[in-house]
Amino acid sequence: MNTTADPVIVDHLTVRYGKTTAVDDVSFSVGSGQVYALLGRNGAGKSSTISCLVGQRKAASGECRIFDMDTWRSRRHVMARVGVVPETPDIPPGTSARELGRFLGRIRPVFNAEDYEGRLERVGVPRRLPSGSLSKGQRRQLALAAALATEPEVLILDDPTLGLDAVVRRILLEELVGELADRGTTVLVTTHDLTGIEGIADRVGIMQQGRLVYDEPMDGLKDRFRRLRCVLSNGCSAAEVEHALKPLEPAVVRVVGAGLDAVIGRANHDAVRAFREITGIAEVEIEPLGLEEIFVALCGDDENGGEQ
Amino acid sequence: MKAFFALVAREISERKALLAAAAVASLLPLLAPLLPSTGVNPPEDIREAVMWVILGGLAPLFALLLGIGFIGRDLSEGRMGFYYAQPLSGPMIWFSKITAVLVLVWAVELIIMLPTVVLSPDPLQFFYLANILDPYFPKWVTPTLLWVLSFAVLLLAHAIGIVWRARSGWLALDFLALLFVVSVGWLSLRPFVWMAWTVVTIGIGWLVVGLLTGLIVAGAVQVSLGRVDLRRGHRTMSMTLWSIMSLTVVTLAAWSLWIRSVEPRDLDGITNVSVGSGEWIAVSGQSSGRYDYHPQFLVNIGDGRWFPVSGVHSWYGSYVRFSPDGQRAFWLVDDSGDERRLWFADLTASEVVPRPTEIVTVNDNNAYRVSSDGRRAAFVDDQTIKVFDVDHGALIMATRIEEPHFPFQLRFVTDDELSVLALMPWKRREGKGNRIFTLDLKARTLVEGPEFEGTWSWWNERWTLRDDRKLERIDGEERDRLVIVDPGSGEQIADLGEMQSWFESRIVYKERITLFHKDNNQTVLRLFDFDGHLLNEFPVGQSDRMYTGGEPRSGLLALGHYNWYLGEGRGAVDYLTSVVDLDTGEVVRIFTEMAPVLGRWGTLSNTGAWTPGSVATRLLHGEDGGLHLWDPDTGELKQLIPVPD
Repeated sequence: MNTTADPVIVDHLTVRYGKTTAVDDVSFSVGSGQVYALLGRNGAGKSSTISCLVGQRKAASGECRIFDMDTWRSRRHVMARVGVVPETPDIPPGTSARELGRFLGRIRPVFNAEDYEGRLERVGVPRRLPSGSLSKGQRRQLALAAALATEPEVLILDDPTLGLDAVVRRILLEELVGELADRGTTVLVTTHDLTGIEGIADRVGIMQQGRLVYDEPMDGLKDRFRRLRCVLSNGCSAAEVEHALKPLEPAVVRVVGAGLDAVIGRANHDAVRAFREITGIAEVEIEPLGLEEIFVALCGDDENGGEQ
Repeated sequence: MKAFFALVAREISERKALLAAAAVASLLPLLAPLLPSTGVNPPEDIREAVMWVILGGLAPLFALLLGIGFIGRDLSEGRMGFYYAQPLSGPMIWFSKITAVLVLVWAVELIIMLPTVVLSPDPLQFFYLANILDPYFPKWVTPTLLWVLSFAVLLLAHAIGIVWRARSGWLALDFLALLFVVSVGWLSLRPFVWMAWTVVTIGIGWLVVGLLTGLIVAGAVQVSLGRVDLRRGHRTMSMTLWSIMSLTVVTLAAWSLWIRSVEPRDLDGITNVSVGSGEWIAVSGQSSGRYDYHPQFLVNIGDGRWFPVSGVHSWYGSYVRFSPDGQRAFWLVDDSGDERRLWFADLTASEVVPRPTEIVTVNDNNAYRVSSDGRRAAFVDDQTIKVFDVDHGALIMATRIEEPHFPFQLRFVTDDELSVLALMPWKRREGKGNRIFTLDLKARTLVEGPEFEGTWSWWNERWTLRDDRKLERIDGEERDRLVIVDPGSGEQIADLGEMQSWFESRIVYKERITLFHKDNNQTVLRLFDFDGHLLNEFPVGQSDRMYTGGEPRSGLLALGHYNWYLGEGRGAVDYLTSVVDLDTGEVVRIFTEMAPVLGRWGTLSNTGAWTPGSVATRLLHGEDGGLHLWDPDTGELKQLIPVPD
């Protein structure tokens, strides 16, 4: 799956907090110019993965590489080419947007002050107020503006829309699309805004209880997963239904009254036809699914979220 | 460096509120003179006093608060990721942050001082450069010391802050490591406490340097390798800190062992020699590289055997002493707390081994005495005279002298009779106050003698009792006089006349008394018998100071001379030795740069050391610190210490 040409590579990454395994042998890569959405419920291990990927936390085993450099060992060099927007904005609270711009201009190899100022202007972030006095959304916008102004080759966004209202979320994601299209930046994003990311991401990884359970292209994922609905009559054998569903790789199967509602992961014609031919099954419908529905179907039964 | 200064500036900017707080605090000294009841002092003095109080309180307080928070708080509140997301190395982050905090503390100090300095009638007094040892040291020294203190507080607060926030199991290992470091450090330095303060100071300095280095490096490692992981940060910081501290204390322990492994042949300067009647002598001296550690040894100059006498406060004047028969050596060793234990060695044994006794004293003074055979020892503890059996540690007799005296001087007249000279120098001007008490150890009685006129000379160790008569020194108007007093009646028996100040004139020499008398710029050595009759007198030239040595050969009396040369920045002392032929009165100067050991360091009278021709009478101490043995018959001079190559 990984190729050395991929700018971002996570290779058999395991992260532990004491006896708790937060990330368990996770591997994926992000191709050049690709937008990779790393999804999962709270506590699934996304932020721990990101933390290792940006060289801020040491992996228990495995490694993370960006531009073929170990991000733990070569963090300083990696960070010269990477922009990071953390889950919780970490800009020092006493620092204003203006001071931040001045500071980044002195320590970053590239800092596009014009772009930075323009973006702050567009999203309405005051430049003189200390960041601690800004709203959560403004702080996030400030962090994003700072990251983008460094013109990174890789942009890592840890839930950048968290806590933002729908309008701001939309602006932010649309801005991202525009920026990324222009620059060909490689993006790794974790988010709970599945609707927003659906039109942006090229590839999706879904983490569950520390494991990466799905890692596919967005289109492939959406092609593969379908909703299957049907009505079960009295003469229908449960064993026969279960047997016929198996080739369809059901992710979720619910029986409500006389109806069956399932999300299937393999909607090929032969298997669907075989299912339709089962005695006592009627009104079989196959529908496409949005990313959010797929995600809910895959992760919704994870009662404990990502906690092991 | 651009990034470094950018980080420093950003950190300072982040905490600029501190500077505003300091500016407010700097105004308080200006308001202080307006307070009621401060009018008697000049306003500038009040301003300055208040300013120092504020400065002394705020600078370390700010350092403490900044130390706890400048990284620890960022870590616990998830803000350190901001730095790690930039192309900045861990050490760069650490050193720029700590530099910023130090600059802040320094700026806070300057701001607090500024108004007071500006309004001072002599602002330059705060800044002029002068000798730091000058009691009126420049006032910039105080804020500088505060700044250094703040630095230490800052580093410690950071480390403690990280440990506290991490709350990991490493805390237990921290305590164990701390215990190890403190124990090894203490064990390494304890032998030098009260004995060699320079060594202790260097040792403590080394520990402080190790601690500061450890904290600085550990902080850099914690930031570099712990990053946002507090527990990993704690672990890496602890491992680094304790590794450096372990290395520090292990090197300290090695240095301590090296200092204490000194042998007599390592001595390159003798500072004290105690002599007995035999071939055993006790020497203490200095050795190159060992600073003020003056080890003591018992050395047999006949066969070269030696062993160290450890734990003796040589600079306190607590030297080895010998029993009058010369068969035992005694010394006091620190025991626990203020207590000191009497140790002794039987010098007649084939293998001489130091042995502790059961006798413990709390008294710092050196006023203990042993009986002629060294089997009994007498002490004074808080007005109570105690006599012990040395071999068994048993208390033979203890009796308290109610009327306060100080100091006491003890003498075993016989093994069963102890005389106690109890002085009251503060009553001298009122007339009397001194007494001699006699302890009869067989009858277990204390007999109080009559009061007699006192001496001011509390340090005088050379009084003696012969035939119930006592020598005493009287403080005259201009010159000291030497008199003989009958302790039984307190009456004066004889007046030996004036004696030259600072000349050791009280040595009892073969039942005779020597006295240096100054006569028309000429020093005359007078010899008296114990009834006060003048037997003979010899002109002995002139020196800054003289003392009577022993008889290297019967009939030949050695004299020691000192001359001080204090000019041209030198504090040198010239030693001379001359001998007086007691039959012919001929005085011959025999050695320059050398002086007799006997009589030089207060060897007790009436001991075998004074036997004519004894080893003790032939020992000479060189101006170069060396020790030599003279043979008056052949004229041969043998160097003992330093051992010749």
